[in-house]
Amino acid sequence: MSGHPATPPRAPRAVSPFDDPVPDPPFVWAHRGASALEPENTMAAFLRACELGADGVELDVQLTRDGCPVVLHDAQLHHDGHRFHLRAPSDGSARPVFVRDLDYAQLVAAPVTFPDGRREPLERLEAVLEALPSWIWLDVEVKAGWTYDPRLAPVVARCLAARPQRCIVSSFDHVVLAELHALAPEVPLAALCDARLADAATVLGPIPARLWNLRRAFVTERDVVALRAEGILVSVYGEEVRLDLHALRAWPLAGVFLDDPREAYGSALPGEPA
Amino acid sequence: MAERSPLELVDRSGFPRPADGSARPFVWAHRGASALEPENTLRAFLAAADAGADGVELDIQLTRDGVAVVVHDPLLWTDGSQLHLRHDRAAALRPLWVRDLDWTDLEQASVRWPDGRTEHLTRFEEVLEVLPGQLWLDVELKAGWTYDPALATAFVALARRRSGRILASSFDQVILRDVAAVDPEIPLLSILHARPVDLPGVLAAVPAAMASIDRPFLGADDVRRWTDAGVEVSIGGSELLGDLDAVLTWPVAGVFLDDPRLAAPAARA
Repeated sequence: MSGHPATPPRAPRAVSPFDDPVPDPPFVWAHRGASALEPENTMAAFLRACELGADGVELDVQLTRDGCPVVLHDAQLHHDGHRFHLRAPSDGSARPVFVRDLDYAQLVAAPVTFPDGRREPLERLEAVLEALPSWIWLDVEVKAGWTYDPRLAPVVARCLAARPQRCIVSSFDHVVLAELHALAPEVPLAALCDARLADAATVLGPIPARLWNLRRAFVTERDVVALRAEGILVSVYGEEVRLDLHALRAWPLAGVFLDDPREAYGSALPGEPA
Repeated sequence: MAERSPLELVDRSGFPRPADGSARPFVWAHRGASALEPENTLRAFLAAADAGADGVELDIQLTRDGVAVVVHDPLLWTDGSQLHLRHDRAAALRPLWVRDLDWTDLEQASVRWPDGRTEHLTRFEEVLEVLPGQLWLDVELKAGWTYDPALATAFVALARRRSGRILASSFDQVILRDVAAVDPEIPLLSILHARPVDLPGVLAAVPAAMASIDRPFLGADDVRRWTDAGVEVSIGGSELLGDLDAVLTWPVAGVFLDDPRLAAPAARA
């Protein structure tokens, strides 16, 4: 297998995350990159996802104190006096620090220790957009909520202007999605929500978005069918996606999020002999 | 604690208030005092009362034979001889759906909790019999992918045995609607993890007047804005521990804690 992602492992599928009829099999997003195989949200994880034939890469972005869009999921890192850990070490040796209270230079002064013990550098969003091949789709999840920062939407809009094709933006923070829409109406948006909403279509109205990314545990096949009838496409995420991928194949899903994109198709990639 | 003057401007009828008459947020013990005893067991619920919680949050779902059982995850895991509450990648465990198991089988089964302790699962009915009447109950109906309207019917039938002091919560707004259809008197708490543009609108779809959102998804300004719009907001999530003292000064209706001593007035005094 080629180590260089400029050459896709197969012809990229002619699908987008908002095709209707939905692609079969559904669009495969590598969640935080191929995070089952490489440290999450690192260049290594993103390039591995490309090699493995994912249709798209999902990644998380938040702002440092000095306004840099850094690719990182949790709002806090853990500092042991020498270096940052992605997750708190179980020996209690590190104290939590909000990313929003750190400048970018502090974050990248040394590689971050990941839960598997590996040390990898954190990336800026601009660097990832530049490094990944043009054929791969990107889902840029903007992290806000408790760390809401009005600078986030303008920064993300500016970054995406440099890669206008094959990018969508998603968030649990629908306020930020609405702000981004006002700044960059051409960027497709996906709303994230952990809940089964009685009127999921109306919640998208003020954003506006026609993509829902919903936790598998909170959605039924009937919900997916009903939303699609209203022109809204659903993708599912969550650990539990793996538990019933087989059943999910019968649903009209737009996409699935997986830590290991190979799981979507067993061992065979779409377009390859089984 | 800091001044909490905004509270006096807010009508919070519907959400339970502390029995001591204070304006502080209502303290819910999440799955019981789950930091002190195995989650969702009678021991955890009784420990919550001892620790000064105003109320107990617990999770229910239906077994195949229609018994409301107190357990959080829709799956239990088996190693062939014993059930486990959680998946353990190190052990070769096979998932079992709670909805595919009968209570007649579960009743006898010993279940291994994550801390290694072995417990039995509890019926919701038993909780109602054992817990003191002055303690509020927040019964989270687990639905979503396992949605079954029979859960709402079973819940209401049991909830009516208690003279009030019980509310229904869920991530599944459809099952909350089902509860309201059977008994419109039971207060509804809609749980969602997101920061919607229009939270009052999201709740109106149920309709519900109360929302529970975990700490990472909102900030103080959201709580103030939504409270001003008539929503009673409560906050949970382990991240709450990072700035609990600050959150307790916001106009929140309630907080959900694994260790209620962290916010209960007796323990803080």
